[in-house]
Amino acid sequence: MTDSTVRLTDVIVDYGRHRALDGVSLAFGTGVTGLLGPNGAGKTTLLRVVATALEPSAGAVDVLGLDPRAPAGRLSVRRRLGYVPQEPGFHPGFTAFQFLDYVAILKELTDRRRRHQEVRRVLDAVDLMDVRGKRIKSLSGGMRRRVAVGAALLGDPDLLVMDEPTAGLDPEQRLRFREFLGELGERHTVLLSTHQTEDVMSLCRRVVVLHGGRVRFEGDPAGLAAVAAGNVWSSPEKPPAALVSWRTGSGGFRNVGRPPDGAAVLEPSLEDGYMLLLGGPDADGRSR
Amino acid sequence: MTRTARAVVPARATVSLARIEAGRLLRHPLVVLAAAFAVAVWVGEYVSGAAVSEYPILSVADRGTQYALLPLAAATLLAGNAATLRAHRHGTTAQYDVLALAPWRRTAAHLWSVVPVSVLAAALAGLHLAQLGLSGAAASRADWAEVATGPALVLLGGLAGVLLGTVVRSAVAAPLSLVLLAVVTFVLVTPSSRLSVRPVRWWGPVALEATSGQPLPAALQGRPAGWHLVYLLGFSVLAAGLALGRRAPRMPVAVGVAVGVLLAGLGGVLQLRPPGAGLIEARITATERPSEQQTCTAAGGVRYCAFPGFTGRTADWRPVVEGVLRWVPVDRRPAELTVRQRVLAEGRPGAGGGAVVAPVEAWRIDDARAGTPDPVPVGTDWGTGRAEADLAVAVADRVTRAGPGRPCGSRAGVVLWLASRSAPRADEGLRTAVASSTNGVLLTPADVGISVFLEPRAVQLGSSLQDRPEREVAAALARHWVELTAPGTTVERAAHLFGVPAPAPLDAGFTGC
Repeated sequence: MTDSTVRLTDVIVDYGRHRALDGVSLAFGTGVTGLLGPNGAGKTTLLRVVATALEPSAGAVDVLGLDPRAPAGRLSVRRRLGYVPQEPGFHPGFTAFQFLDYVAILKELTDRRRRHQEVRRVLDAVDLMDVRGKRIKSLSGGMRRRVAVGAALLGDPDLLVMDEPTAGLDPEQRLRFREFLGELGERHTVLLSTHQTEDVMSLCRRVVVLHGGRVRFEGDPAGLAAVAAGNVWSSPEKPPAALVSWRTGSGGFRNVGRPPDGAAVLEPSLEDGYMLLLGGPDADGRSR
Repeated sequence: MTRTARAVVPARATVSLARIEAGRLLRHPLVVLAAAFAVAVWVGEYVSGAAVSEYPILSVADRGTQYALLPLAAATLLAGNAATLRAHRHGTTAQYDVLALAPWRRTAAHLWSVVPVSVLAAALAGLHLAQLGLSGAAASRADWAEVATGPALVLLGGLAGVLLGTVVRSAVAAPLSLVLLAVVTFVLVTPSSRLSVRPVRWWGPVALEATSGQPLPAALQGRPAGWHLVYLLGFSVLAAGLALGRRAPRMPVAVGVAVGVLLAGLGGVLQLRPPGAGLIEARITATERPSEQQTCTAAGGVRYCAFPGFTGRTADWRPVVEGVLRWVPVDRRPAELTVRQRVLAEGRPGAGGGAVVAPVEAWRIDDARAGTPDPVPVGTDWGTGRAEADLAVAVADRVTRAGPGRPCGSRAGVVLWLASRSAPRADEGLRTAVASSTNGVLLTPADVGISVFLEPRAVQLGSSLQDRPEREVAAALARHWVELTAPGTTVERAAHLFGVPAPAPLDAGFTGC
C-alpha cells in the first residue's frame, strides 16, 4: 500500500444530518479502480472528496502524496487531476475544440501552440477530431460525454476521477471507451464509479463496493466474485430462500443466496458477489 | 514547480483566459451592435453633412462621443455579465472549481476582458474626433477627459456586469440594473428635470449642459470632466475589487477597494465644486468685454474678431458677409464693418441664474474701446443654415440701418432679400425660418439675447423679391437705396419701387412694426 496514489483514512462526510460517507478507509494506485454501489451509496461523494471538490467532515485524505485540505496541496493536486463529474456541463455555443481549449487554459496550459497541440491530442484520443469544429449543442449525448472525458484528460493528469463515464454511451462506444480507459490505466491512476459490473470486470484492477456510506468490499474483481463462491446455484423453480434469483436463457433460475443441500452450485460472477454483498444481512439487513 | 513558476503560471493563464474572454466579448452580438450604432451615428452625421460634422466644435464633439458610446457601455455590462454567469448557467462550475486556475483568477480574467472593449471605444471616439479635427472646419479643442469618459463608461459597464455576475447568479439582474441606471440617468440629465441644471447631475454617468445657448469656447466651459473621469474610474476600481471578493489575495483586494472608494468619493465631491473665480472672471470678460480675448483679422474691408479656437471660422463667415455687401451700392457701404463673435456665458451652470440678458451697455463700451463700434454679432455655431441666416440678416440690418430702430416696412423686406442672396446656406436657413413662422420671422444672431424681427408683410415682400430675377431687384435697389432703406418707407411703396404686388393687409389686431 505504500505506492498508493490515493489514501483515505476514516473519512466521514456529513450533509447536515445525513452521513454520506461513514468512516471510509481505502487506498489505490496505478490502474483502474472501479467504484460500485447502488444509488445513494456515497460514490459521488467519495469521488468529489478525491477530486478536491469536497472537504471531508473528518478523516484524512492523501492524494498524490499531498494533503488537499491545505491550499497549496489542493492546488498541486488539481494541477495533476482530471475530473469528470456525474453530469458534466458544457457551453453549448462553444465548439468541441473551443471548449477543450478553454478548459486547457483553466488547467494552466498557457503556451498557445502547445495548448492547441494538447487539445488536438486529446480530441484524437477521444475520437472527436472529426467534429472538433462543431458546436457542442449539435453533438450527441455520447459525444458530449467524450468531450467531458477529453477535458479531464487535458494535461495528461496523474489521477483521473470519473463519475459514471460510460453512462449514456451506446454498446460500441462503451467498448471503445473501455479499450481507451484500459490503456490509460496502464500509466495512470483512474478511479471511476459505475453501475455497470461489466465495466468493472473488464477494466478494473481493483474494485470497491460502497453501500450506505461504508466500504463493503475492497479487492480485485475476482475477489468480489469469490464472495459468492458456493452461494450461486441453479434450479428449475424460483427458490423462496434465494436473496436474488432470475430466469436465465435456458429456462431455469440462477439464484444467489444460501443454496439448499444438494443444489447445483455454479461458478460465481462479479455481479453475483456484488448482489450478495448488497443483499446479504451484512449490508443493511434487507433481503433482495 | 518552483516558487516563481507557481506565481507566474497562474498569472499567464489568467491573461490567456482574459484574451479568450475578450475575444468573445468583442464578438458578442450586443457589443457588435452597439459599436456599430456609434459608428453609424458618426458616419450618418458625416454623410448627411450635418453641421456637427461639417463645422464641428471639438469642445462639444468631445462630450458627444459619450452619448454615442452609452449603448456600448450598456451592451458591455450585459455581455460581461453573461460571460461571468456562463459557467453557472451551463453547469460547468463543478468542473471548473477543481481545475488549477482559482475561481478568483477566472473572475480576474473576466474583469480584464472588458479592457479591450474599452480600448475599442477609445479608438472609435479617438478616430471620430481625429476625423472631425482633420476636416479643416473644426473649431475649438477637445478635452481629453471628455473623450476618455465614453471609454471609461464602457469599462465601468463591463466591470459592473462582472460584479453583478459574481454577486447575483441570475441573468435578469443585469438588465434590471440597467433599467434602474437608465431611470436615474434620465432624471439627472433630462433638461426638464430640476436636477439637470444642478451639479448633482454629475453623479450620473454623463452630464449634459442644460442650456439653449450656443457652445462656449473650450476655455470657458469649466466642465469638471477630469474629476468626473476620476469618479468613474473610482467606481471601476471598486467594482473590480468587489468582484474579486474574498477568495482573492486579501491585501490587493483591500487596497483596490480602498482606492476605488477614495477615487469615487474624491471625484464625486470635487466634480460638484462651483467654477473658480478665475473661470467666472474669464466668462464675464468673454461675455461683456470679448475684445480682450479675441483676435481680429481684416479681409475685404471687414474686420472679423473671434475667440481663441474660432479664428479659423472667419474664412467661413466672410462669404456670407461679402455676399450681402455685393448688393449694396459701393457708395452706401459702411466705411468700417466689424463682425464680432459673441457668447453669453452668464446664466450658464455654475455662473449664476438662468436669464439670458444681453449686456448691451458693456458691449458698447468694449466696442468703443476696441475701435469697433456697432459690430455685427456672430455666434459659435456654424453650418446649421440658421447660423448663416442669422449672420446674413445681422449684416443686412447693419448696412441698411440709417439710424436707431429695428428693421421695419420696406427696410425689413430689403434686409430679408439681401440676406437671402448672400449665400445658398443662408438662403436655405431663411426659407426654413419663414416656412416655420406664421407672423413674421424672429432671428436671434449668436443667441446672445438680441433679436431681429421681420414683420409679416416685410417677409411677404422679401419672399416676392426672392421670386424676381436678381438683376431686376438689384437694379431697383441700387436706384432707390436711400428710399428703400429709409425707416418710414412702407412695404406698399417698396413693392411699387420693385414692381411687385403689394403684400396683403394684416389681419385685424396685428399692427406690424
